[in-house]
Amino acid sequence: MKVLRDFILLFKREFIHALRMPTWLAVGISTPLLYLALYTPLLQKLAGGPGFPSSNVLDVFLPGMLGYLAFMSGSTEGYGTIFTLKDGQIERLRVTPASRYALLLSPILSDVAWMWIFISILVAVAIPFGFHAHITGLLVSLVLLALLVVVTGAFSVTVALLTKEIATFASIVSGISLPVLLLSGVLLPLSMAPTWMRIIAHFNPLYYVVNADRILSAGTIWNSTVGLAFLVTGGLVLATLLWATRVYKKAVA
Amino acid sequence: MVAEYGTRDIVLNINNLYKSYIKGKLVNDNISLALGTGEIFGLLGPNGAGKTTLVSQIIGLAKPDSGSITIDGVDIIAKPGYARQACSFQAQTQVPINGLTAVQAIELVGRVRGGDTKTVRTRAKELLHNLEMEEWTTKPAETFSGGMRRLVAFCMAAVMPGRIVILDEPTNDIDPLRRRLLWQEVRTLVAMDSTVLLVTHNVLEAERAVDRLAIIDKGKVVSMGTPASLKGNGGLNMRIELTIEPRANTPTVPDYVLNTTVTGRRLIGRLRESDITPAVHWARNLKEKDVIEEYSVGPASLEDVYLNVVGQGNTLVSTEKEADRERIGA
Repeated sequence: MKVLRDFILLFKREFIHALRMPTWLAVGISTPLLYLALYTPLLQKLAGGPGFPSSNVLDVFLPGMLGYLAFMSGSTEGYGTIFTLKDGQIERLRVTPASRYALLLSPILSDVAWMWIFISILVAVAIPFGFHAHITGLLVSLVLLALLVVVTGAFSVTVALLTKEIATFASIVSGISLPVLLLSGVLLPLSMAPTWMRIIAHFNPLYYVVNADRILSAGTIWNSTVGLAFLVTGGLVLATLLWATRVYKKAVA
Repeated sequence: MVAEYGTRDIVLNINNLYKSYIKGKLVNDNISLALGTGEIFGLLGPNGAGKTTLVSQIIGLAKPDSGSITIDGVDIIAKPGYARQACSFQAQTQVPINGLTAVQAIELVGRVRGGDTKTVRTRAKELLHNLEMEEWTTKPAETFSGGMRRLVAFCMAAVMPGRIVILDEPTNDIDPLRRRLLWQEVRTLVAMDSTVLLVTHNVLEAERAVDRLAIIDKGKVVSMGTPASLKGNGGLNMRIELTIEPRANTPTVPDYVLNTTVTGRRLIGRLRESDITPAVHWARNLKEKDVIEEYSVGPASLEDVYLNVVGQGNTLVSTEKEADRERIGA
């Protein structure tokens, strides 16, 4: 009960805090829209070709974008952690009776809420341009993407707590992000990639999420690829949260 | 050394506490303290005396090498979570509240400390009113001065006070008027049955605010008691101060002037009330011989006690500049 109460309090604080950062909000909304506006024309000629079976490339491209958004929402969470470490917020929270689970999860789940808002805007913008939205599939997709944010968010916060400074944290996160994103097919489907890339991609958790996302967006829910994506992501949620809780409890002992 | 705490129930009990950060170098060296319900207890000492280390152990952030700390009889070394609930803490460093308004920051801490919305809101409003901060209530913290941030931090510690409220240099950067208001609020906390542990190196403020105090130096409690008992220690409750002429030598001090300290041209000593007449005669003689410029005799202050106990090498906040500020109404 205490954990839930603290979580609601801290979640509200985190969520409202974002409203006070208009630049962050503007970039958060405009980045996926820019991808949509600038990438879609480049892909138009590929419609109906390998990787883009639908006549509208958005049906393949947009679900990938959603995976990209979720991945980035969580993986940048550690920057906030380092700022809170530097300006003494974590030190302050150490002396309060606030639940350590609530302290860890509130910023991550605030990111989930904001990601859902950004995705809703993105989908609403894409529909007039021909994106076929299947509501049930999209809703299940939002749950899967939320799990992905928890994985990347918990990982990012833990790396931030261990590195404690921006330069090292940034190089680790960007070093990991590039191969993970490219080997997941967020922008271009991996069905266009050589065999060795497709084999390596199977070791990349984001690959399963993006594949499931495309299937869910097409309106199929009961599918083994979707199930596998939930299994992989769910397992990683447990593993990263266990690691994050351990490191966080030590940092906020 | 455990000083008396009157008939009050003990809230915080520290026994034979040892803490070292570097092997062999003790930061807290056999500290024992007992704080009673509803008292304001001062922890006085120079920088590096071990005050912050002691506080860190009380609030469960650090563990002692040996010794015990209990709050309401609960062993907080084994249960640091109890200490976090029982203690409200205002740190010496500025509180990070950017992105929040004053009232949001105060209410958030009040709610996290377990207060319900209505109680916390009423109490936050009351504190902001009493400290004459109403015009800043809904302004973003980014626009606050250092003093204003310090006051918000105090409100955060006082909104849902624990059994023990620990205030580390609470009046730094605060203007004289609000300092006075803040001390009134500290008294209110005591009336609400909280015990206040005031950590400071501001001797003048401590003398006026605390019921009892302990002076810590080099990790040890070197003196403890009420301000009056410390000032009257051994009957030496008077002080004499001489300002030596620039070219004169330091005069020889008579036997009845004890605990003398010399800082620059200032010579300060302690004496008994019965020795005032010969002391005035001695000083007048020195003045006539142009050895000293001026002299004064008066009741001993806590600063005199502090300087005697801790020594002249340590820097005090109660310098002349601070004393001037106090005189104009701090």
